[in-house]
Amino acid sequence: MDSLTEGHERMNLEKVVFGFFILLALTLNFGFFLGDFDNPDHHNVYELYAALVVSLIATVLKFGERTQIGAVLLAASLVADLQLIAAALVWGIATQMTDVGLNSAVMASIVSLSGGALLANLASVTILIVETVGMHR
Amino acid sequence: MEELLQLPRHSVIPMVLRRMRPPLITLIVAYSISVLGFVLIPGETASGEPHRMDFLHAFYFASYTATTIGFGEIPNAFTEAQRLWATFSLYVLVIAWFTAIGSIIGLIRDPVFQRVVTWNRFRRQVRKLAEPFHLVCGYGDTGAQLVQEVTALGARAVVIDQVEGHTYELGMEDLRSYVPAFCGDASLADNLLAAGLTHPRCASVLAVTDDDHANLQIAITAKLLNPRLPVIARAGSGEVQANMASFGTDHIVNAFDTFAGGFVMAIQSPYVHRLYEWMSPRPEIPLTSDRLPPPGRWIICAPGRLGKMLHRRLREMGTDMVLVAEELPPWMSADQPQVEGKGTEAETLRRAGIDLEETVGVIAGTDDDVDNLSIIITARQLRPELFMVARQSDRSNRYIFEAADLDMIMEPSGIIALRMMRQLTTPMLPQFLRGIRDYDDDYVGELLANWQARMGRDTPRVRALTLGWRDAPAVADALLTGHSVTVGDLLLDPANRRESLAAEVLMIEREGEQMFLPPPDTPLAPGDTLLLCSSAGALRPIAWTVNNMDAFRYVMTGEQRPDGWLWRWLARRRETAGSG
Repeated sequence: MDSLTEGHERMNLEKVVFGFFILLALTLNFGFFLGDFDNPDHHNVYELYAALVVSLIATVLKFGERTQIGAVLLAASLVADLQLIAAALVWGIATQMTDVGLNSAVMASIVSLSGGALLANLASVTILIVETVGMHR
Repeated sequence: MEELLQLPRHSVIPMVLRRMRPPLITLIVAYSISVLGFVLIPGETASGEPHRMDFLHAFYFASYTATTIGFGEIPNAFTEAQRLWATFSLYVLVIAWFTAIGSIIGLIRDPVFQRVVTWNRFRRQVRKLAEPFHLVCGYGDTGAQLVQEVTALGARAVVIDQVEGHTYELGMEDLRSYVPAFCGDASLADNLLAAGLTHPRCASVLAVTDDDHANLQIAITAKLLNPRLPVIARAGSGEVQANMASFGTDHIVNAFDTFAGGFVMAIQSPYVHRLYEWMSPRPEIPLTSDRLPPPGRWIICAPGRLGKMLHRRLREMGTDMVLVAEELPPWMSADQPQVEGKGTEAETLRRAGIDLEETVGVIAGTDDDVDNLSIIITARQLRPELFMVARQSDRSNRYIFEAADLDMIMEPSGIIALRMMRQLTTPMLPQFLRGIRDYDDDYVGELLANWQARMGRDTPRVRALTLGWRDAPAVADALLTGHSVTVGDLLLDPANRRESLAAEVLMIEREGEQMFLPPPDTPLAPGDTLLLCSSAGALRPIAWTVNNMDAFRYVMTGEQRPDGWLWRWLARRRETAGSG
C-alpha cells in the first residue's frame, strides 16, 4: 500500500515525460499538417523531421507495457511512426532520386500521410486523457 | 485437463523491450541531433558554391559513421564546420551504439532472463512432442540408465532434475533422440505440468529422484492431475512404499527388497533364478561368476535398509546368519546374532565366524563403496573360496567392482532401472516370472533345459501378442468366424507346417485370468493376450503367420491358395466348372 499512496502524493516524473512526448508528437504533427494541403511553402521539412523523431521516442517509451491500454498506445504510436516514415520517404524520393521535385501532387500525398499519423497521435492522446481521468486524481 | 496445459507463460519480449527503453532513446536522440546538425551546417560543392546536405544524405552519413562502418563516400568534401560536427557526432553515435549493444549483452547474461528463456524453450519442446514419451523425474544413476534404455527403444524421454550438473551431463550423453531437460524441483506441480504431465502423448511418469519424499510427492501429483497415467516410483523404505501404494501408484520399485527377494530365490530355487537370467537381456542381479549363492551361514555387513530386507527374507527361509554393524540397528532385537564392528578388519570378520565350516558367503552392503570393497578384500584373504557379494552405490565405480572379481554385484540404481524398463516394455513378463516361482524347481530346470535346447542359450525375445485386429488380424479373423485355433497352430513354421518354430507360449491372459505354460492343444479365444518367448529368428515367421491370411491359411490347412482378385475369380470358375 505504501507505494500506492506515495504515487498519489508525488508527481510522477515518468508520467510527465511520457505525457510530454505524446503531446509533443501530436502538436508537431499538427503544426506540419496545418496549411494549404498541396502548397510546399506551408509545410516545413524540419517540422516533419521533429515530428518523426519525437514520435519514435514516444514509441520507445511505451515499450514493455503489459497493460491493455499500454498495448493500444504502443499500437497507435507504431501506426504514427509508419505514416511519418512513409511521408519522409516520399519526400526524399521525390526530391532526390527522381526529378519530379516537390510539386503539388507529391506534397498532397506527404501531407495526407502525416494526416494519418495525426489521427493516430490524436487517438494516443485521447486514450491517455481517458486513462488519467479514470484515475480520479 | 486442457486448461492445465495453459500454464502461465513468462514472456520474454516485454522484458527485452523494457530493458531496451533507455538505450533506444539515447540512440534516437543521438541520431536526430547529429542528422539535424548536418542539415543545418552550411557546406559547399567542389566548385565552391554553397550547398546544404539534405536529410537523406545526413542520415546516410550518420548511419555509416555510427555503426563504425565508415565509408569514405561523401558527396562533397566537408567544410571545417562540418568536420567539427562530424567529429562530435562520431563520438556521440558510437557511444550510443555501444550502450545499446552493452545492455543487450547484459540482458542475455542475466540469470533471470536465461531462466525464463530455458523454461519457455523446455515447455515449447515438450508441447511439440508428437511421439509417446516417458517423464523421468531425477537424472541420477537410475534416471540416466532409464533415459538411455527408453531412447534406445525408440521412445522419447523428458527429464526434470534439481541438480544443474545432472542436466549438463544429459547434454553430453550420446542418445538416440533429443531429450528435453529442465533443471528444477520435480516435486513441484508447475514443473511437472511443464514437463508434460497432462500431455496426451505422455506414456508414464518415472519418479526416480534420490529423495523418497520427493518421489512420493511426484506420485501424488501425477495421480491427482492425470489419473489415467501409469506412475512407476522408486521407494527406499517400506513405509513410503505402502504410502505410495495407498493412492494407486501403479508400480513401486524398492531396490533393497528386490535384491533381497532375488538373492533368497537364487539360494532356494536356483533353476528359477537361471530362468530369470536367461530371459532378461540384463538381469537385475547379475551373477558375475558362474556360481549361485549356496545355502548355509551368511555374514551380512549391512547396517541399513539392505540389511533389514536381507535379514527378514533370510530369516523367513530359516537361514543362519550374523549381522556385522557398528551399533545395533533399531529393527533388530538384541538376542539375534550380531557382531559389533565395520567388517573391514579381519578381527571383526573372525568374531563373526568367517572361519566356521558352515559359513558360505559374505555380503558387503554398507552404503560406502570403498568400505564394501575393503570388506571383500579382507574376507578373501581369510577364506578365498567364500561367495562374495558387494553393493555398489555409485555407478562410476563399476570398473573397480568388475575388476574385483566378485560373485554378485548389487547395484541399486541398476536394479531399479531394469525393473522399471521391464515393467514398461513387457509388463506380462514379471507376472510370468512371479508365477513360475510356485512351480517345483526341478520342473523349472527341465523346462529351461528343453527351451534352451530349442531356442539357444542366448537371451530369447519375449513379446506380448494380443489376438485382435491390430496385432494379429489373420488369427482374429479365423477366431471370429468360428474356426478353432490352438496354441500349437500359431507356432507352426509358415514355410513348412510339419515343423514347429523355436518358440513357446509362456502365458495366456484371458479376461484378467492367467494361464501359465498352456499346452499346445489349448484353444485360443479372441482378445487373448499371449506372452511369447522365441529365438531371435522365429519372431518374423510368427509375425508372418498372425498377420498374413495366406500364411495363416497354409499353417492351419496346408492349402496354398492363389490370391488376388483375378486368381480368386479363376479359382471360383474352376470350382464351378468342376462341380457343374
